[in-house]
Amino acid sequence: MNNIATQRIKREFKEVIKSEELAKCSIKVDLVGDSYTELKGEVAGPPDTPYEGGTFFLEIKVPETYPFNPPKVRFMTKIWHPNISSVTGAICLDILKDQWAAAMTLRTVLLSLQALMAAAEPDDPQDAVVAKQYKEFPEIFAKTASHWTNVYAGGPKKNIEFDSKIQRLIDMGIERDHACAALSSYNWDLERATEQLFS
Amino acid sequence: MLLLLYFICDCLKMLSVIDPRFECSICLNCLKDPMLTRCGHRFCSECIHAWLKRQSQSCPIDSLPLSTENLFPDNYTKREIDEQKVTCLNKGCVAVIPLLEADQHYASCEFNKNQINLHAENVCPFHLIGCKDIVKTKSELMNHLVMNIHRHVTLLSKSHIDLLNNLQSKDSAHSKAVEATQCWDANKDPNSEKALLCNLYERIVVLEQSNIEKDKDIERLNQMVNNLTLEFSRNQNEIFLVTCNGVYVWRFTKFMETLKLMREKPSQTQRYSEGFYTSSTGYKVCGRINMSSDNRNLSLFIHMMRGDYDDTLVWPFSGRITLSLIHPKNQEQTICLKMQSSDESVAFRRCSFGNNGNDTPHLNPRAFGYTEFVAIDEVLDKGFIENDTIVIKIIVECI
Repeated sequence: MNNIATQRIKREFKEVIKSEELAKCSIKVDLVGDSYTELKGEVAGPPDTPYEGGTFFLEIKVPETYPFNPPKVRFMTKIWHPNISSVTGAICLDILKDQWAAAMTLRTVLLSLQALMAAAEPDDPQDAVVAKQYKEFPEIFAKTASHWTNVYAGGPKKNIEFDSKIQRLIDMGIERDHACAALSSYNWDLERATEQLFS
Repeated sequence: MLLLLYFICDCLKMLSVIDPRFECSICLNCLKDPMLTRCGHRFCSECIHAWLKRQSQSCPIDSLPLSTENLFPDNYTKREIDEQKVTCLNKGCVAVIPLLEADQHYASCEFNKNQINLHAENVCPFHLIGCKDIVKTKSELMNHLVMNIHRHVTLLSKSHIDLLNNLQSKDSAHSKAVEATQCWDANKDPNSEKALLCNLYERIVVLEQSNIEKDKDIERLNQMVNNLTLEFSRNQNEIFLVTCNGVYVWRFTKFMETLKLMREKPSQTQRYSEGFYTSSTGYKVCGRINMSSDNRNLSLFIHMMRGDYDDTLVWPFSGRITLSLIHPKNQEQTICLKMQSSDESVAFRRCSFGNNGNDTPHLNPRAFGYTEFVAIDEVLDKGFIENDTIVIKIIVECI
């Protein structure tokens, strides 16, 4: 790997280690293996959002051309958010694409992601289904996001109604994640989700 | 681990050496050949040119449009940086180095490398965890070690606790990460053993849960069956009372107890039988037993009750009533008395009275029968009581 990328990541590490956010446990970066090309990020769900209380892990791949090109970031923890794919974890965020600037760091990226979680942009969606729900049924969206946070990110809010619906589908032989995704996509309409799964 | 801690401290020290004004925000190093942009930001010449060579023609800090023409060498800052000298922080090293070369110097400073050996020979080995005493010779060191055992142990345990905390926080983060990864990977490769285990585990939890639910269902159903059985037997009894055609057998249980009560409070103790119908759409009647006023005989009466078909019947009731006290063993000793209704008696009129109290609902307060039906001595002596029960048969026939 080119020297400047490695050196920068090393220095950024120190920056994150020093930062107040780490002390508040809201963001964190760890090495994966010995190289500085692959990192693991950790972001706490922002307060007063459906993600509150959850811990979200990120896969960060640092390209050789870093910092002249943005790091490739995706969510490893499943999340229900208009700008994040509920299937792959891919993120739609301008600074990770054409709006990247070399002065940005891992710390600013993680903080931007945290801000994105707090303020979604449904008009520039990554996941159209989620974005539609966000716009048309904001209450269902909030409940769903909160439920995903509980199931995948260790969030505190359990939703017994959703759990029982998921269980119904599991009893029909559907895998848990599929059941959860299908129900979430159909606004927790058990009949329509079942129809879609078996069609 | 201690060495690692030492290294991290060192890094932090080094970072704090560089004034943020002299830091290039692209490479995060000290500015080398600083260039000033039109928007007033400084970068290393190499860094900013590399950035602008890519498609983005904007400042890395504020994203304002920027091209190579808008860059100027910042010789003022360059001179300032050149003047910045830092003293090496390594113990024993007296070098004063230009800020620009600080990184290289730290990497190669011989005192940095020798420090560990130095500690081993002349400095207290507990130096790294906070013992600040300086010893010069080996014997001094030995003496120091002997004298300060307690302090060293305290220092050790403190650093041990710090270390544990540090490790724990790392571990928990790591295990969370592994879980999350598994969660994600399980999707990708359903055949892997972990995914299988994960699925099986989830399945067990699900089954246990449904088991508990089933248990609850069973309990609920059992309760329902019990209730239904009770209701059924009650209903059956009611059906019997309606369809008995005026022949009612009254098994009077706990006779001795009742007798005792009757003797103590004769005026307040009377017992009523269930109400029964003379036919399925007939008159409703019940029997009554109490102590006669001379305290020597049992009285046996019948009462007309308010029935469901009273409005369709002819009043006053007209018919024949047979009262018998059955002898359980010897039929010949059974006491059997018959009587005819009389139109004059108030007792046979339609029961239009309200509720007369808790014990006597919906019945004509005037009874018809015998105040001295049988002597109590006779009941006791002649074997009418079996299992503390006497049997009374009442037959009401309409004419």
